[in-house]
Amino acid sequence: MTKTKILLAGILVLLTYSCTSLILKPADFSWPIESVLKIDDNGYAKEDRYAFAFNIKPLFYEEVQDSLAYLDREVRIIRNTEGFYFITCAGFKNVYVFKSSDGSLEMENKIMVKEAGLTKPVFNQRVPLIELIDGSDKYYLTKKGIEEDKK
Amino acid sequence: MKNQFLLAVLIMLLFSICVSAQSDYEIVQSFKSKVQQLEQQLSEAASLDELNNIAKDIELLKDQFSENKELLDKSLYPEDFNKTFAKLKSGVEVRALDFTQIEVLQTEVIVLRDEVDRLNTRNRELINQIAVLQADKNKDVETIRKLESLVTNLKASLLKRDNLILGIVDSLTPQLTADVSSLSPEDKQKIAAQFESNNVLNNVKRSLRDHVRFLDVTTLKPDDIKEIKKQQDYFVSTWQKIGVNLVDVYADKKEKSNELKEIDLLFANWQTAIRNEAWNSIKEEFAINNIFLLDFKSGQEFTVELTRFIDEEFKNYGIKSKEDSERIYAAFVDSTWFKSVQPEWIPYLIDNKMLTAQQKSLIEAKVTEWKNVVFPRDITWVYYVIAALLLVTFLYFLLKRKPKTLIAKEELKQ
Repeated sequence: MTKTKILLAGILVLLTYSCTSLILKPADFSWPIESVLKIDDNGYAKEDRYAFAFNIKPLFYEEVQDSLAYLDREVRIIRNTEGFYFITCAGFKNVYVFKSSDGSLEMENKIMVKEAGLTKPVFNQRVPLIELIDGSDKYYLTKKGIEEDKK
Repeated sequence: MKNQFLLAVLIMLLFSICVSAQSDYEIVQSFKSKVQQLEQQLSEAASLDELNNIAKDIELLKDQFSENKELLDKSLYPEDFNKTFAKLKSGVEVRALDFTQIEVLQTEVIVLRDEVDRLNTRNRELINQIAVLQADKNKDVETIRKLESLVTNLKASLLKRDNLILGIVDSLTPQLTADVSSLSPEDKQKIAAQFESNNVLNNVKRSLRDHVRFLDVTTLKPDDIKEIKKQQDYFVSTWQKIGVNLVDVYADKKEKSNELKEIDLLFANWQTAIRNEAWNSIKEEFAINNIFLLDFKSGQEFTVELTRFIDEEFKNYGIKSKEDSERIYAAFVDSTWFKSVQPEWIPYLIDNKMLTAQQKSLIEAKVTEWKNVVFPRDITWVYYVIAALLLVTFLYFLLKRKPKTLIAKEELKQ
């Protein structure tokens, strides 16, 4: 019985070892500055420098329950050093944190910043944090939320 | 004093808050926009002073944004902070070179313009002197020598002036090498003003008129005309290159457009004058030997006139004295046709497609025919030869035949 257990444990160790994926680290995904993306008529935001595009309509639906609210709007997006995307827009109450997934952006967190809505939000890269400025207000964000002690 | 200090501290504090609250994105955008403005100013700079001011602004921008160098290095991909300024500075250097070149060319133009003015006066005097000497019917050796010397001087002077005018045009053309149609109305106005201040159109017109006048008052040899034709081809091809662009520059100025049309017409006149000069010089060659022909301006007219003259001589042969006919023949054929026209002018006319080979053969056949009429071949010697031959043949047969008495005696002996 003990022999069988030892054999099974050995097989398990071997299997685990062979399934370990290759990891390259450390990696820095941070963008030096935010991108300000104009949304096209089809609801797509296209980033030229990093060459990617995504459908923004569900984000507007999530924020204002109106999937057509994106028309004539600009979204601000920045990526932190861990590779999470921080997206917001003037009038939003929240900053949305996304991670890239298979052919999509998957929401990681939704950070409530201002109940009245952000008036003129801008992002700055302040590694390891993301700085959010709205007028005279400043917030430091991680994927988990606002770093209160930095505020 | 204390209050003022506090106020200053407060202002600095507010300023630093504002600065620190600035978006990185806005800093980068502002930098990009300022660089773009400087690039635009560089391309539009109209003087070296303006360029120096832009160079100062570039240095100022560099100082202003040096604290954001790290951010800009990361954000200006594929450029970076230093590369951006290196590019701007090289732009300043390139434009500075343009201005230095333009200044050198402008100085050159002023010198050339003065020289052209001097040559204009000199050429006018030379043409007048030549006209006076040409009009003198009784030219002595000294007059002819003086005339030849004046013509040589004038020819050289005209060539020099043409080159000077083209020099001025060359100095002004850097501004015309670009696609003129894409220039702004202000730029076109600037180019037009430079051409006008240097009196280019008037000088070109004067030069073309002088060339025609020079051909009017002189009688030239084929080599001279070849030289002038070469000069004309060079002038025409150089003018054509800028003429097209000038039409565009002067598109809105009817008066100047008409001047350009006038220049085209003068070029055509010069070309016609060169063609006519050949015909006139040939006519003059005959006239020197007292053969007065009617005007001819083409190969066809030349052939018709020469054959008409010879036919006329045929008709008069026998009516005029034999000596007269022979004298005219000698003056036409020996002293003019074979001496200068056929060896010098005919190759020129054929090379320049002014006369065809058939027309040349026709004239030559006519000349040969004329010779046969004026100097018919003496064939008496042929009769003598025939008579002599007949006599020799007769004698031969006579000697060969034995006498009949001799034959009878031989028969008797046998």
